[in-house]
Amino acid sequence: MDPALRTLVSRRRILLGLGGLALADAVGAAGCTTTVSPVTGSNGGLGADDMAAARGAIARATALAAAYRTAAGRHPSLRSLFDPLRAHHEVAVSTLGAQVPAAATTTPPAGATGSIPTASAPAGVTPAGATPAGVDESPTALAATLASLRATESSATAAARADSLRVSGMLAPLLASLHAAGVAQVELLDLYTAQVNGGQPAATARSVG
Amino acid sequence: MIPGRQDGRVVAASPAGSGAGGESPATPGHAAAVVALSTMLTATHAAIYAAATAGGALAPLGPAAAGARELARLSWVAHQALRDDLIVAIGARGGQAPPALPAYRIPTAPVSVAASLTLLAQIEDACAAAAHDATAVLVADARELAIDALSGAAVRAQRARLAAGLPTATATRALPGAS
Repeated sequence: MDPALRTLVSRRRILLGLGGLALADAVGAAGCTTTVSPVTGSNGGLGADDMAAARGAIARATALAAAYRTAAGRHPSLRSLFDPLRAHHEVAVSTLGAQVPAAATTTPPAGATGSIPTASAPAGVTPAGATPAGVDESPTALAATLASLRATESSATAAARADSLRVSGMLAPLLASLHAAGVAQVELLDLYTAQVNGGQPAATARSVG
Repeated sequence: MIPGRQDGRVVAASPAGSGAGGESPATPGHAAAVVALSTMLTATHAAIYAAATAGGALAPLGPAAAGARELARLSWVAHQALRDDLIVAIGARGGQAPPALPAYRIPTAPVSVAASLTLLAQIEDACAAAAHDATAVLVADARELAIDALSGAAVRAQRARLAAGLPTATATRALPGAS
């Protein structure tokens, strides 16, 4: 039996299989917590493609977390956007590391500008190098930062999708989830970009469609 | 092409040759794929019902509900398309697609705009969960279907939560479908 068949069976899946509308357990699915099951304690159960995909995903999420941290320091008015997205990428790093410890220990901090953000870092702490003098709340600077983050998110999302199609069933759910999160985050960045470009206060962006 | 040769792969099965009652011979992987796709379809049937219920409840609420009503309509349309794709994918494996039920018990009564948006987010989260789990046992085209279903559900759930006025921190998910 495929290990994934065992490890990924959840209460939610059982409820869905009962034929009813198993929506009740989605009610509490908020925030950054996850119950993704570890698929392996080492790289022993994963092939080369899986290991490469896990390492790549960790590197991308690490770089994005660092980018959001820097952006939050430069644009405090958008901290309510940048901090949650940074936290999401830190959850991705920790989840990937928990599932594939070998990938976490060998991943270089690509794009992390010399430091790997940790999930324990307080959200409100100003990162090193982002002094008050570096703050720039001009619409041009805001738009440039949002565009840069969007490009990085889009690239990472596309990579996650490609990898999720290539890896084994043990890693596919996590990579597919990272892809989905990325698609949603790109849409959120687009929403804020539209508001910044339209001269509206970006921090109040909430409505869609 | 040999039906069932590769785990979960969509094959061009002939209805006449696929066996009566959807009981064609299948590999264990094939059977697991049918189960996963059927689980997704069950959630999708329920989502169609819930989205229609939300849209109907929002209809008399006027312009104030226009945004939410559009989200309900988009959800309803998206899940109908997914339903059709899932039925094809299940049939291609010789499986029997589970039918929609006459009615479903919904977790939130859409008595207001806010409640309707909550319901819409809930059904998307449920469908995201089913798609997330399905990717573990699906391959190739079928896995691609699940991956795209997961991302679509994640985006629609996020839209519903944002429209309800939730802040980014609670409207977004780190790992859609995985919680």
